[in-house]
Amino acid sequence: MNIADINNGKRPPRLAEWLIHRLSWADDREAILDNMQEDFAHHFRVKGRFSAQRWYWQYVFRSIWPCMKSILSWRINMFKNHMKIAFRHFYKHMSFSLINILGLAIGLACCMLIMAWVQDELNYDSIHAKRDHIQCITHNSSKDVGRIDPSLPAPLIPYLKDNFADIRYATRFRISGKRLFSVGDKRQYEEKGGFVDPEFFDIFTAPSVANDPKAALKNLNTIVLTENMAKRYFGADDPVGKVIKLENQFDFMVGAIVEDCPPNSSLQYDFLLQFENYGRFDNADIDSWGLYLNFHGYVMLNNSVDSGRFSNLIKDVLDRDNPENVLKLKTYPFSKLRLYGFNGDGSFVHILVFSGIGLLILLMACINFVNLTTAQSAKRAKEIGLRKVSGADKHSIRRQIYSELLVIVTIAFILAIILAVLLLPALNALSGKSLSINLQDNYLLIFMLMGIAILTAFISGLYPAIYFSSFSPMRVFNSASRSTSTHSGLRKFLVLLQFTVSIILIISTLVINKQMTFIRTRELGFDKSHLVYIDLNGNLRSSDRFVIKNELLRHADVNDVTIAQSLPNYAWNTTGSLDWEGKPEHIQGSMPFVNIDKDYFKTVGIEFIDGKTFNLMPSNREVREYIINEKALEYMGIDNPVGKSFQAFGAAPGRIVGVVKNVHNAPLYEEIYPVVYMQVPYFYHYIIMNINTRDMRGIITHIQDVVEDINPDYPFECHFLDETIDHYYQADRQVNRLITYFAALAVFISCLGLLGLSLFMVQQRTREIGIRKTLGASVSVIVGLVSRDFLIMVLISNLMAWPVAYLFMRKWLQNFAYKAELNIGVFLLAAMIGFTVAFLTISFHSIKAARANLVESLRYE
Amino acid sequence: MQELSKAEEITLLAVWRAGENAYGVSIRDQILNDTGKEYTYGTLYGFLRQLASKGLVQKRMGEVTPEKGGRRKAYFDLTDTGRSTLKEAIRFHRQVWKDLDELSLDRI
Repeated sequence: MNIADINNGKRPPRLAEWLIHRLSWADDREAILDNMQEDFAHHFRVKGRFSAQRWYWQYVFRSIWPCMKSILSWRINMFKNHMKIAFRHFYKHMSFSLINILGLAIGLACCMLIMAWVQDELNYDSIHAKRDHIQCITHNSSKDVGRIDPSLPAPLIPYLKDNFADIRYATRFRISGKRLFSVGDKRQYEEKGGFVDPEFFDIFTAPSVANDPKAALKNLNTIVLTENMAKRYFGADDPVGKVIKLENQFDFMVGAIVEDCPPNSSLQYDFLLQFENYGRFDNADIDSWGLYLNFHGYVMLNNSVDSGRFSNLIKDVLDRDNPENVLKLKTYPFSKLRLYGFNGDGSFVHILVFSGIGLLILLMACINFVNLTTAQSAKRAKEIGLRKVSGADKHSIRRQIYSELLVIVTIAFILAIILAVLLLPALNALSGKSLSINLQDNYLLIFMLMGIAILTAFISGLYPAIYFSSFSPMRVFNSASRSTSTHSGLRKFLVLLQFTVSIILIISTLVINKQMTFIRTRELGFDKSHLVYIDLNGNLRSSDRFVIKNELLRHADVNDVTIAQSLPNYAWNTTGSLDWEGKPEHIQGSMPFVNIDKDYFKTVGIEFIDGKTFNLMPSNREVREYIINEKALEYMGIDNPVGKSFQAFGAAPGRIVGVVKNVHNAPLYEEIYPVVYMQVPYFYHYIIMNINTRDMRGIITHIQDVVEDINPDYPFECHFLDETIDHYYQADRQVNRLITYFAALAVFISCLGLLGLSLFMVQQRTREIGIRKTLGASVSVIVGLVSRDFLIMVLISNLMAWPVAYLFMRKWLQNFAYKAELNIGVFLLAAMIGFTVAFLTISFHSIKAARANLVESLRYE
Repeated sequence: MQELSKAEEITLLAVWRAGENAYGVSIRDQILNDTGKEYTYGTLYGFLRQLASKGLVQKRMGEVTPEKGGRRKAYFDLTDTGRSTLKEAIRFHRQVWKDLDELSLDRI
């Protein structure tokens, strides 16, 4: 066969040739391929191309197994040997091995927990089979056109359903708030419930346990309960058809039972009522187009309809009866709600942050492996050299390193699973979730865990494998005694990296803590620690308010009592149109209002800047009095407001009688709202009391006596305002705690690495230390000698960490309208923590070495 | 003298028979002719490698010619040790089988 033949296509199949090339002994490759080619050419000449090719392939297949067998048997033999060496190595350097395993196990466990958490977040609302087809109806915020506001006028959703054929199903969902339920003697408040339209069940998945919930909710006086709640009130009896009383006033028949809401559904309810009941229960005007109420409107479109086009179609619906309207309707996909929120306030940021932290912690554990393994290269150089001399090639050495890694990662992985399972309840308690690492049917999680473990092994082994396999036997045996300072540069860099990450996390923890303290201790402008409140319900609502107030005030420690629509820390509801004397043209005129009585300011502790509190009786409907806060005054753009006329959405005209100081009437994430205070008696919700906290028990008993006397049918509940306020920041506190723990773990892992490196360094310098001591060096000099390098590294990592942490934390603080100062103190404190921890870690070995018996250390080796 | 397995013996003999032109294809064909056994090249080269390591054959790489597409032929020459080992083998066989034929094996 010659070149012409090859060019004519008379050559063996390339793939088959490649296989033979791979399978045959390196020395004989060329000859075998040549012989094969000759045979091929012979077959070609005699029997033709097809037959020749078939012969060639048959030949290849016949050869595969014997070759594989030989290669495999070699590999297995070598693997056994590697394992044996790996275990010997493991035992011989127990402390290093344990440091590696512990670090990796913690890193992997963190990753597992975070992965379970992320998976749960990504699967949020997955119970709702039509999740991806549900749209939430929203509009742009009146204050900031870019923001989305989901509050709507109640009649909008039925109107849309009637007028747009694209909508297949539509429902409103209003969180019910606390309601009193009673069945027989059992009487209890329930917090989780909703007012919905019957088509709720066509849109969201709520599997029925008994009866058809959709049919049930067509009736105004029927209630749908979850299994759990039904069991609580009716025990083992069949609840369907039974009567349950709400607010001691309305009888509802249990129409259907549905399954309990899974914890990772954004709609949480124990009971569902028809939406019309919202109006009935809360005196809400659910027929008004001018009143934007706090509920969500959900629609499901027909399959063929594009949501973007539909969004465009309904854009101007709110212009219907208000030509000056600036609010444009818009759809927002329900599936994005959990992760992104309406305005980027979803859990996505947390997912990013925690995944990032998890990976960083794992990376730090990998760095430990790289550092500790390469640090021992001097000790292993002879072994590797000898292996090479006996014929091991690069790949064989790499396989050896990976075999050792396999041992360590496998043990770490098992340990990590145990750790993760043990820590899961703690994480659940911290995050308020109910995660489980259920490996039996969660294949995705198993694959991801395996993937992470393999990735960890790969990343950790990469550098040591390349490094060791590049040893030249000649050099190794020539200079076996020389220390391996050549690669300490990389090790230093990696330690630097570890400490930088740790310090960033420490700074973050400190800043978040500082902000949380700031929030807790911030003067809100009112007297939160002396305020308690009770809900205004039942007879309290109908009785004479003066009588109640007087009864409550009879106790010497009850200073003041007021009746109000909302608590001072939270201004809710939005007025429609407002008008006032001297109103500038460009102002829309919309502010939150709060209904209170004249004692409110005295009780809550808000000072007047101008004017004084209400003078007229609330029942006076001819003239209304209004009090505004400083923000409102700013917003209204007028001077000397007291005495000027003012009018709120269709109420009787009135005048401004006072201006009060600003108080934090919103969580500290938000700016203080401009607020209009007025007194419209039928909107009251709370009785707020200012008390002396000397004798808590006595006061509470007094209040309970008074309230139960008037309101015997309602279980008594009394709340402390500071606890209620605290509740707002729960999510941030959770994040705070989680980050604190992760930061602690990160610091711990980098300390493990430092511990290993300092141990190694001390071992290497045993004789040096011995000689120095002989010549008169004191313990402190030697500890300083060993620590100096490491402490310099900690210093550098501080300098690297500061700007990064500063940028991150400034970004995080932007969530808050009111924030703690980000000053140098936090950074210095973090540096101090870093130094202290590093120094203590290093001293563990350095002091031991410095105090060791001279004879021992000089006799070493 | 070197102990030879039967397969090695057959291969060694085939190398001798192929003479000057003993390389993969010719040796394999020779074995096929002599014994009816069809070795794969992998197997064959395995035996040749063993023979070479015992010093019975010597590997000689041929010239690179353009016609070969850049591949070199590997020739195998019988060494003196190889030749004497073969002689030894003949003597040994004759010695062991000297008074026997197929029929005599039926006798008890």
